[in-house]
Amino acid sequence: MMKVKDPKPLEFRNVLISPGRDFLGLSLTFKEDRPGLLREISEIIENAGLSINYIYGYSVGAEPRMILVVDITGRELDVQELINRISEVRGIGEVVVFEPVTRGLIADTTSFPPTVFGERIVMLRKSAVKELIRGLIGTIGPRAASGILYQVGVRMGRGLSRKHVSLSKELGIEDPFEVVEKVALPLFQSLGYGIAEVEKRGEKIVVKKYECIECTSLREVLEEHPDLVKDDGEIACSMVRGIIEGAVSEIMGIPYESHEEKCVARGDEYCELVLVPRK
Amino acid sequence: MSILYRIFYMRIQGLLPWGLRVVGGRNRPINLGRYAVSPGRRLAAYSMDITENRVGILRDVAQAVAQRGGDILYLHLQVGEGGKGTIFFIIDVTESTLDFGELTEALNEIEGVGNVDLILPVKEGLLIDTSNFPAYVGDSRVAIMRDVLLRSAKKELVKRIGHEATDALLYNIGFEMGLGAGEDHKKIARSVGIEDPKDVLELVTVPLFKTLGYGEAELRLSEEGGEIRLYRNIECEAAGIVGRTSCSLLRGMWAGVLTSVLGKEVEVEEVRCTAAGDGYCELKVVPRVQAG
Repeated sequence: MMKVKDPKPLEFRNVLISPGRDFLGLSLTFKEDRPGLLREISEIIENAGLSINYIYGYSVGAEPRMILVVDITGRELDVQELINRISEVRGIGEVVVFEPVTRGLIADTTSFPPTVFGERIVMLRKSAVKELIRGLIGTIGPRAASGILYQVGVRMGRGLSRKHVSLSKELGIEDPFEVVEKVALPLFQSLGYGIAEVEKRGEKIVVKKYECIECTSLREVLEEHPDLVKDDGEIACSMVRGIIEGAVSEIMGIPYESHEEKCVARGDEYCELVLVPRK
Repeated sequence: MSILYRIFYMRIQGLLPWGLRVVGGRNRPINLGRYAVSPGRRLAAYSMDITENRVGILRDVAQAVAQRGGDILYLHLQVGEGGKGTIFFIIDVTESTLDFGELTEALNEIEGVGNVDLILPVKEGLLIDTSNFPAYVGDSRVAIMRDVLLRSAKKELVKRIGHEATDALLYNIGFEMGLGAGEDHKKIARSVGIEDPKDVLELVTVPLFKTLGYGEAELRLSEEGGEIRLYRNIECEAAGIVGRTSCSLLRGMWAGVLTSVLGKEVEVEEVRCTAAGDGYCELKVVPRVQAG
């Protein structure tokens, strides 16, 4: 897997907060894609003297679209004229305006639901992950909580990897380990779970995880509530372990079992997951 | 010009307060998977910093790509405080003889652009954004979870501790999640001058609930309580039709948010639910009566 040095944080600015600024939101759909389409849209925006604060868009897939937020502070803007100009660009379908909820705060209320691979998703904030972990451990104990999170992870991993396998077939990737390395783990990172590296050691598959959202959340929960777990042996990152184990088993076509050699929740610098074929 | 646009003009000119609603259109799904899959196509991606935002910066980037025959398939641009930000885009260059090194140089020369990184596909026809990590919404790190998370978690819990205990547990977890979210919403609201708790709920909580993917909410609240209608609520949509109300986590979340934002404890009961066969979910909100 190609490594990117120092990945940059990705900010979904579909909620944009900037006190004192006036924003205007535009939601566009595309009827066709062609080189130069974006240049034409950005020229119209530039000619209106507007700077762009946020764009999220794609011209491929079932319903290609683009969300733009521009700063209109202090400008006398002919919104209808702007919409007409953009609508006239060849390839543009619908143009819809969304307004700020108040000065300095705009949210993209035209997009719902968010999806990945055509399936509905939710963006779970880290604080929500922490509450989920704390609530489960506090109520049913660390072992039972770990068991549930692990089972949930396995189901998630198996489901996701079916998509990875069909996508890899389309691309002509035949080697299952290559599917893990080149499709599953990059997607794991792009969905925000953590940065993962994988290597094969004989029949074992070893996954190193950095900045894993579950492990860092668990570590913070244990720092904030030191009495939650009485025995260090009960500290385990389970959901992400389940996700990776489920995905690897599905992709490799044989069941694997996994254990964590290292975990940031136990004070290690990174997490290391060792997967071996289930006997 | 329509009345709506006249009103909007007046808003821009400061003659009317800002409104709330989308003008026309309908909800459209948004794909948050930052990848391009095009078997047999020649793909690449660029990730770059915006060191100083200015009018026309995107035009210059788009022009540099278009002049060389590249087609932008995916684009993400964000600018924050101080005009600093990032641009990430995936291009299809199958139909061009584009030289990546030369495009990198051209992008580097654009005023306001710094640190241009070229990202090559992991396999021909497949490009996944691994240059941007972690993902944030506002100040909060987020992970993108499929709805199966909620479905599986509930199924596992019911198997181990039964329906009633599962509902109570998820409600409590949701309540704590909601309390934290409510504090964040108040902070966001204060930063843009919103103080009234009802405005915090309408103008911050409801849009965030939607944009994070939980569902669409309609509030009808008064001093005595009221109702919250939830449409396409992810928890109940994931549950399917099971013949019983199923919004335990989100019911708890709303109870937590309302308690935090209104500054008084409330009880939230579910009176309609899509999982029970209703057209939408409805939560009844009543102020909690203190014992004694």
